[in-house]
Amino acid sequence: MKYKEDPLRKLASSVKWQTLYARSKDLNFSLFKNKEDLSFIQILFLHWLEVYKFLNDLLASGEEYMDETIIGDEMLEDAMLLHYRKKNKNRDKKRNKKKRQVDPSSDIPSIIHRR
Amino acid sequence: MNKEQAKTKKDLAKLWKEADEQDDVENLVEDNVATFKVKDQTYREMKPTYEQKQIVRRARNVRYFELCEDPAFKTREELTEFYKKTQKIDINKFENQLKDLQKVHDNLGERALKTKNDADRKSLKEEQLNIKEEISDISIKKRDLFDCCIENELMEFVNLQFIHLILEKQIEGDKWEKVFKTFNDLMKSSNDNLIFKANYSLQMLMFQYEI
Repeated sequence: MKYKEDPLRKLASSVKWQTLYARSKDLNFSLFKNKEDLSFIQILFLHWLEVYKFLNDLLASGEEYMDETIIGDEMLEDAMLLHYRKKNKNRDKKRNKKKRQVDPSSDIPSIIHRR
Repeated sequence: MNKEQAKTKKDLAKLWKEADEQDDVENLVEDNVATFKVKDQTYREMKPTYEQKQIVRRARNVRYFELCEDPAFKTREELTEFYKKTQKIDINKFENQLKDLQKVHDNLGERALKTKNDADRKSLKEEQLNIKEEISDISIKKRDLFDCCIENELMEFVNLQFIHLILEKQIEGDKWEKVFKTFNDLMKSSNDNLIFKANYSLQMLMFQYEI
């Protein structure tokens, strides 16, 4: 089986669209001809633009396992996103565990009764 | 033509095809109007209005009650039970298989990401593709089993209703007119290619469960 690349992802990752996406807020212009009532594919495209912006940010920040070979290879991009989500989930779990020892109404650590 | 030339020609053809595909997608992305050509005639579809959605919703409800009384159709739930009883096919098992395969797929991806060895990465990605093929086979099998369910029939009906309401052809310049005056005109049409392309564009315009 050969991997079939998604043309929408390819378009979203292109330099042209990544630049337009990055500058559209500062320069206050719309990415599409229509300003409202976005179509399904436009919403999906915005999602992929954000995903590729995020992957480029990970590359710039030197995230573990992230390098130039990842972006452009959809299978590895998906693996990177999954890995990052998993890593964050574990971090949140640890954080929540710590938080649970604090009374949520007063922020005071709960009292542990010991005999 | 030698082998190398043939390969270059094939590569170029592939590149052109990709570029075409990319252009099509870019056109669809740039506006919430889908425009396409069939045999030199330009067609367009615009996102349905609230009123058009209400018309389709009403037609769908009428069709739903008709299908419920038609012995030729069953709901997904009824079909699941039917296959279990008559053919010993457990569709819920497919769901579990798909979940398990997805886990294996993701795990292989993570291993491919973490390895620095190119050969290992390549082989892990190949394994991942094989798993993807298995996932696709099971999904197709599942989809085929549900082919005659009420939900599928209803979805197709809704899509055709939308096509009847929003498909227009270009007369000249900015002049457009509806292709099918009535739903019956569409049902009698033998232009499969047009309906196929109109259906594809419709999927790009709106969420499947928007109404």
